[in-house]
Amino acid sequence: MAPHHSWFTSPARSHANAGQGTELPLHLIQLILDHLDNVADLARCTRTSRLFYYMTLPRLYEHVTLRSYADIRYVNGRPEGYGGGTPFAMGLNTLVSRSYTDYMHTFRVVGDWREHDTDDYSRGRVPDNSMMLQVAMRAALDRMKELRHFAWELNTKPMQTIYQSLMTKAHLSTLTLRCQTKRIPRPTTMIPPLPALTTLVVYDIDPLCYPDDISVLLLAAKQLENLKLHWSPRMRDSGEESVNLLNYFGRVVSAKYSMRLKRIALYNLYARNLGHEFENTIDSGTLSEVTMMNSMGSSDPMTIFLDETWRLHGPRKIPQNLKMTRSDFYAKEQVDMFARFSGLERVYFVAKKRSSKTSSAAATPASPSTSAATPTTPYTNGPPTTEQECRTLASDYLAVFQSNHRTLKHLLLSDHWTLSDEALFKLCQSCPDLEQLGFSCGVPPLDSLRQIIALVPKLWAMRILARPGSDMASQLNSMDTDMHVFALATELWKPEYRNLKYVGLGDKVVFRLGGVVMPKKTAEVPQGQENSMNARRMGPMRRLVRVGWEEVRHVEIWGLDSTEFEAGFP
Amino acid sequence: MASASTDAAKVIKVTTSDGIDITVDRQVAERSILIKNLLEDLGGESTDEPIPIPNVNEAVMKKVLEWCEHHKADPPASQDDDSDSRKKSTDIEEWDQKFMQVDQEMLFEIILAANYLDIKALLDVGCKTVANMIKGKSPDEIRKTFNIQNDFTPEEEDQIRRENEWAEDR
Repeated sequence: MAPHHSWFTSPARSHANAGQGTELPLHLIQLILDHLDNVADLARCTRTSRLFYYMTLPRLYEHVTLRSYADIRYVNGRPEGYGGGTPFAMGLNTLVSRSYTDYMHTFRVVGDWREHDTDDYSRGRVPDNSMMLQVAMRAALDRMKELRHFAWELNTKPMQTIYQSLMTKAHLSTLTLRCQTKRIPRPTTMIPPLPALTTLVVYDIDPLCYPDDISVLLLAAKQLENLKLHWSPRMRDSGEESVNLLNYFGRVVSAKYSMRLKRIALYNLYARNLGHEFENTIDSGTLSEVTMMNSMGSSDPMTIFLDETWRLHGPRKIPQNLKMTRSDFYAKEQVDMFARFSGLERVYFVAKKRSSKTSSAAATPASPSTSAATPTTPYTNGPPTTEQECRTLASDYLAVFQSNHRTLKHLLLSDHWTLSDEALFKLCQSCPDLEQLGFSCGVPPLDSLRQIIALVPKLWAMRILARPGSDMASQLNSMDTDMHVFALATELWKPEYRNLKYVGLGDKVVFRLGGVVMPKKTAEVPQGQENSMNARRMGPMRRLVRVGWEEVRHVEIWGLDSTEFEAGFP
Repeated sequence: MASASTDAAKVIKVTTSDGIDITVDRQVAERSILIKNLLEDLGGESTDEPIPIPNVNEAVMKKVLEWCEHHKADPPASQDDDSDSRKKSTDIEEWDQKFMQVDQEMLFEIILAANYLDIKALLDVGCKTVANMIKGKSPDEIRKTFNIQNDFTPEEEDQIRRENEWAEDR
C-alpha cells in the first residue's frame, strides 16, 4: 500500500521543459489539487504523470461511487467501457484487486442492476447473476478497513453476505439503503446491529416488496442521531394500510428504549398511530430537526382515517429543543405545539409545486422508480379549504413566531399566505436575527421594504413568493426581467440593503446582488421629481446578476424548498 | 497629535527584486504576514528603510499590492466565516475573479509571491483559480498547464484510465 505522502519519494518531476515558464513547487501544486472536488477532475489528473498520480490517488478513492445502468450507454458512438467491462464492473474489479481500498471512507453503489433469470426466484433460489454481484461487493467491502459511509442504492437489495461484512466495520457511521420496488419474492434478512451508526437512511420502503428488517438495527444503534425513512408513495395514493410501525420500532418499544435522535425525516408515511406507548420511542429532549413530507396531517379523503389517528394522539411531549422544522403542510395542531416551547431557528413550509413526478397509483410499478418523488395529488396535505381558515391559520403561525420564536434565522412561509406590509413589519420587528426570509405579499412593497429590511440587518437572502396561478405570479410574469432589474437596482443600492446577497421574485427569477454603481456625474433633477423614472435612472444602482436555481441551492430557503426526497442529510 | 507624523508612520517602502522602491500604506502591506512580522521585529523605528523583497519583481509586487489594497479592510479569516460558507470550495468572489484574469505566467508568479509573502487569502484565491482552470480539462491540457511530462507508457495510461473510469461516468 502506498502511504499517504508517498509522492515525496516518487520519481522527481520532469524538467525537460524547464525554462518554458514558471513552475510551482510541489507543496503549492498540492494546495491547488486540494481544491479539486470533482472525482472526474481527479481521475484525469491521475493520468497526467506518475507524480500527479500519487498526489491525487488518495483523494480520488476517498469517496467512491459506482454507477450501474440498465441500458448500454454510448460515448462517442461506442458502448461505455468498450474493449473491457462497464465502468461499474471495472471499478469493482479495481477495488477487489488493488490496494486503493485503504483510502476509502465512502462507498456508494447506485443505479439499476440488470437482474437476469428472475424466474429462479420463483423456483426458490437467487439467480447467479444477482448472487455474483453480492459476492464481488462483499470481497470489495472486506478490504475497506476505514469505511465510514456505505450506501446501497441499486434497484436490487443487499443480501446477508453484505451485512455480515458491514458488521466488521468499526467506523461505519452512515448507512443508506434503497429498497427494491418489485414484488418478486426474495430472501429477506434481519439487518444486524451496527453499533457505531449515527445516520440511517432507508428509502422506497414498500411492505409488499420484501424489505429487510431494520428493527434490531434501530434498537442496537445507541449512537443513532439521524434517521430518514421514505416510504413508497404507493400506500398513500391507494390508501393501503400495509405499513405497521411496529415492524420498524417494535423492538425499541418493547425494550422501553428512547432513541436519542437529533434529526428525523419522514416521507410518505401512511400508518396507524399506535397510541401513547409509542410516544417514548424517540426522546423528545434531544430532537432538534424534524422533516415531514406528505405524511400525517391531511385533508385527503384517501388518507384521512389513518392520518386522524395522528391528530387524536397528538404529541403530549413537546420537543423542547427543536430548532428546525420542514414540512409541506400546516395545521392548527402544529401552531399549538409551537406555542408550548421556544427557540425555533429554522422553519420551512415547502411548496408542493416543485414535485416533479406523479407516480401512478397502479400496483407496484414494474419499472423501478429512479426518482423517489413524492407525488402531487389534488388533495394531499392540502391547505385548509376556505380562505378564511387559511388566513386565520397564517396569523396564528405569525403570532406564535413573534411570541415564542424570536430566535428565527431562516423562515420560509407558505406561498398561500399573503402578508400585509404591517404583518411583515411586525414579524421582522420581532425576529431581528433573520438571515433568510421567504414570504408572499401583495404588490412588491418596495417603499415599505426598506423599513422592514432595516429591522433585520443580518438578512442576506430574500424570496418574494408567488404561488403559480395567483395574481402576484401573473403580475410578475407579465413584467420583463429588465423591468424587475430596473425596479430593484434603483432601490437596493440604499444602505439598508447592504447585506442582502440574493433576491428572488416568484418561482423563476433569482438575482445575485453585486456592488453599487454610483452615477458618473450628478445630474440636475428638477425639484419635486426626485422619484421620477428619469431621476432614478440617473441615480445610483445596485448591480444585479440573474442566476439560475443551481447557484442558490446552497441557500436553504431555496435549496430546502422541495418535496423531492434526497438521501443525504443537509 | 500632529497628523503629519502619524501619516508618515503609516507609509512604508519595499524594494523589489529588480531594485524598484515602492511606497505603500503600512496597513496595506501588513496583509503580508512576512512584512508584518518584519515590521514588528524592527519595532516601528526604522520604517524609513525600504524592506527588501528579493523574491518578487516590480510587476508582480504591484499586482499583489493592488490585491492587498482592495482587501485591506477584510476581517481576519475565521472558521464560521458566514452562513454562505457551504458554497463550493472553488467559488471566488467577483472582484477577485477579475483580478485573477491574467496570463498563466503572472498567475503562477502571484501564487509564488503570495506564498513567499505569506498572504494566505491571496494564495487561496490563486490556487482556486488554477483549480478552476483544470476543471473539465483533458490530461494533456493539465500537463500543459503545469508544464509536466507524461512519464507513463501507453499501456499504463490505458490501465489507469480503465481502473478509474467510474469517476468520469456521470
